[in-house]
Amino acid sequence: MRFSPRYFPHLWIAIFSICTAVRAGAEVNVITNNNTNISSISSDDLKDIFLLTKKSFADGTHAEPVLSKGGPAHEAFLKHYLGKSDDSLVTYYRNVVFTGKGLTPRSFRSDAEVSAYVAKTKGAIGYVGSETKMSGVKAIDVK
Amino acid sequence: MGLGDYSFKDWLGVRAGKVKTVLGLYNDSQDMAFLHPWALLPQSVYPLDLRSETIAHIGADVYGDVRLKKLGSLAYTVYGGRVPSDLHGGYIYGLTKNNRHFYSYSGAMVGADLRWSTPLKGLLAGASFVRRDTDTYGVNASSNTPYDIDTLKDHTPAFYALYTIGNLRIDGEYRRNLKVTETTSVSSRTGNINVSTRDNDSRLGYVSIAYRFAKWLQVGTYHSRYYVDWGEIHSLPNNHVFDQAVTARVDLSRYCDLKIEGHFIDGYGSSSSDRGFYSADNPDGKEPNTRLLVIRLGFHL
Repeated sequence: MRFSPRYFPHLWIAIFSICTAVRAGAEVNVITNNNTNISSISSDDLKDIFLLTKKSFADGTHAEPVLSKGGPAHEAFLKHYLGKSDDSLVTYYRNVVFTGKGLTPRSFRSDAEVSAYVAKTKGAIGYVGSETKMSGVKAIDVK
Repeated sequence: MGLGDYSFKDWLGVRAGKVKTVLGLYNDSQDMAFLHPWALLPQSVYPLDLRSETIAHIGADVYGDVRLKKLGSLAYTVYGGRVPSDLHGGYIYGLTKNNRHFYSYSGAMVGADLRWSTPLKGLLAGASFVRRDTDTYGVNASSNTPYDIDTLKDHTPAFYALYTIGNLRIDGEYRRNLKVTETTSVSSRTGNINVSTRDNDSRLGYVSIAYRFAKWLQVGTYHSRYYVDWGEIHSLPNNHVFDQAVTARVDLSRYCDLKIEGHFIDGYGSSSSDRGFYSADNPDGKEPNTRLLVIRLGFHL
């Protein structure tokens, strides 16, 4: 099969997309409590949980999103999984709170604090930097 | 606002009490100035004068989110209840002329909203509908004779869309208000009962665009149009209110913002338009054009 140059743009787009997805996974781990019965989650479900439109995992278990207040993992998570900036996410949560539709998720100052809360809270789901030591939590795949 | 809320499933929840009404893009957040670039939301669709009556209902909602897989997701709300009564709001104020006094304003309302988060990232589209059935009771103060307004029909369909990409935000709404009212009054001279019917087809909408240039600066503009009665001559100043607004929002901190907004307004609508121009405030008549500068400093949590 001859490789035609007209496929080059598509090839570069595919390579870029794969690199972007791999890079997101390399920067941040999505973590859940060890007692959660899931090992993976769809990107749509992950987004819905953090935007408070979905309250449970696929198996029906209650899901509690947990955020970080800032940092590289926070920025990477917002960009790659929620498609929002920190300011727009704050505005989004304020809209939810002040229209009576929900509460702002808990947030913590460091990856270690996020990990500690997720470890002790059934149904909690959060994110930490890929270098963060994980104890009592497990990283799940985002599909 | 006080309410109870319980979610059975992602696709089914209920809330009851004094609940913010989901209608269009911003009806339930029109009192949260820090959420918007504007000092004044487009007054054609979100008149400040009517906020107390339109922002919430006393009743119950059924709501939920349904994921459509590759087609995005749908969020629905269906509600019913009572219209909050505000005898000091714009509706009553607009009726107050020629020495009339109103002592009761109430009624029922039902509505629904359906919004689609489309597969195109950043695009939201939706439709709403609300039906109200209100009765207003008052008197002609000079003669102490009854003056009552009964709503025979008050339907408002609404369509809206919002697109955000990066720091750019574009949105627009269109509504049509079909209202038929029957007014009953008693002539102080003859004692005869007069009954008159008014049939109004109001059309309203806006288009807006805003861009955040920096973390602390957002600039935008909108064009808002309100036609009191589509069947009458559009160019008459008492039959329309057009508003071109230009805004700069400066976020002084996460909890404080300053908005500087200019309005170039054409027309003033009728006294019952409830869009800020009232005969009671302008005994010498109204100008066809208005220039308005709004400077708003906001503090929020």
